[in-house]
Amino acid sequence: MSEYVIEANNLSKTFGDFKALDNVSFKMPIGRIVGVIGENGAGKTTMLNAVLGLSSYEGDLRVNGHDPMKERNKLMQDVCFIADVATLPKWMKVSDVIDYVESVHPRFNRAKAMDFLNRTSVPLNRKVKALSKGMTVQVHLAVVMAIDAKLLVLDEPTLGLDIIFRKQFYQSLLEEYFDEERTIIITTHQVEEVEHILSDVIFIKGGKIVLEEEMEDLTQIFIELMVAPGNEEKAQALGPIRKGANFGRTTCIYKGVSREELNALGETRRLGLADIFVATMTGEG
Amino acid sequence: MNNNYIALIKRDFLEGKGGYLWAPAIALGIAVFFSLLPILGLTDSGNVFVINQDNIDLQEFLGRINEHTPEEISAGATFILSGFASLVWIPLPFVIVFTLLDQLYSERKDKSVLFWKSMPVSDTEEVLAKLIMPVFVAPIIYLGIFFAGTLIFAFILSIVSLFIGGPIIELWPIWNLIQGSIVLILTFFTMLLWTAPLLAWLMLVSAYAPKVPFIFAFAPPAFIIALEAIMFEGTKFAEWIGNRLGGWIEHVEGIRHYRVDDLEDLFRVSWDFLGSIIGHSLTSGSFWAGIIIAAAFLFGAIEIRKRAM
Repeated sequence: MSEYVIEANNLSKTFGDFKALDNVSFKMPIGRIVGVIGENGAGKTTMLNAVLGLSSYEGDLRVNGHDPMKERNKLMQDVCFIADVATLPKWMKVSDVIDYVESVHPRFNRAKAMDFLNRTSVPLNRKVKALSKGMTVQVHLAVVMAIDAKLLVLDEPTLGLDIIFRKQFYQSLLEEYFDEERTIIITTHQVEEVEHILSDVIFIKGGKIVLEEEMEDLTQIFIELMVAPGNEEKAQALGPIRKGANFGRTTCIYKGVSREELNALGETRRLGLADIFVATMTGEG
Repeated sequence: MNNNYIALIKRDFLEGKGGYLWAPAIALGIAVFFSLLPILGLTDSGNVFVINQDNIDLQEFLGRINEHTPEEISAGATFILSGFASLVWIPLPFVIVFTLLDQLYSERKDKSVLFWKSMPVSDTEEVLAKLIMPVFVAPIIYLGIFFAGTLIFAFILSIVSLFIGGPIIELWPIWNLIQGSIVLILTFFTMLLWTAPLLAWLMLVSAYAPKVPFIFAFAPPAFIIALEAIMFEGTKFAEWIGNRLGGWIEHVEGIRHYRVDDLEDLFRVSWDFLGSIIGHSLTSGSFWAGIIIAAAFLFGAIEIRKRAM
């Protein structure tokens, strides 16, 4: 078995003239939490749909050793996903959902799901359509967390949920689900909320991967400098990917310039993921 | 059948419980209600069945019950019980058509298809389960309710008979009812297999229709029929559909010459009839052509569902 849960080579997907995914190659190792970040229409969901066997693609793609489009049913024994829209069947009762998953999924642990649900206020005999948005996500999460999968894909899992629930969601994911045997892929717009749990990030723009790094390296590679007065020219000479002004002082963001070198020119700061994303997307990086 | 099919059929049963269980149960309730009216003397007529131009009238039957031989009573009871309970079947064709047309469409519309696809169940299993539940399991449920209905009517008749000092045992022609049920369901399944290309067409439409599957299902055949009528002044396509819907029975040899004199004859004739239609079907090229067309449509539905989101 490969040490990568996903191996993609020259993956492409076109809709008419539009290249939603343009010759993308990437590998995702086991035991990571990967954030896939990009603007709307950048190709995130297209990429995930290919990985999940939900849409056709060109190129070579293996997920846990399977061809997703041809062997989706086998793949789904080891892969779970929550799509970016509410997908639980609305006519079903919560207990019916649990019964159904138990009957078709060999890796589903009913006790785990019930334990998770018992900690929520979700009534088991209520139909999904009568649940609030937050409760629906809780049910889906209870199902997913009770499946012993190798890969979990979460596409905007907390969209439209309140902040307390979003915090809890990621906390349970990290504490109760994640381990070194699993890989989790998350796409979200709320980058700040996930950056502390991510181990890797992939930035996507216009159907291409523009950045693929481990989080630890990322904060070494991207540095913000608040330029000391008088050093502006030297700062410019180092080739910032983005310039701005803050409290009357020039700020520059650099990619791949050493911290020691920058420290001589002013104050350096660690950049948040959101800032790195914006700098990468709008700057020259 | 593997475990997935059982789980899928159970799920589809839950989703369509209204049509699979409540509709025939309510139809039975209505039948019971209307059967009680003549018994209670609230209406004049209790005509429920006509055979060989003889009305089998409930009031007359009960009123003169002691003038008949046990065989006649048993025969009359078989017709009356089956006749009343037959109301149960009325919703079934509608349930089959609308379920096949709706399932693959509505799971796309409400996005639940993404949840189903997150489970280790293949698209082939999904599509076949969605065919099996309404087309093969639903008729068996209906048959069970129909049979239960005949027993309920036997119970009602027995009580009435008890009051007027009539027989009881003869009002429970269980073996006749069982034979009748078997002939009925096998005839029904044979007829369904003839309609297979039409049923599979509904599933194909359900899998691809972007909206209002009803129109996508019925507009193309209507268009072809109209086109054929205008361009070639022909009715071949309409005839083909009519043939599928039951017209084929006209071509079964021998079944028009049956004569029914008594109940025993009727069952002999029924079994003969069943044998004839099954024999005819299995040796008919048109029947197998229909099955192949149906398989092609189902294959299409499966392939489209693989790409459904």
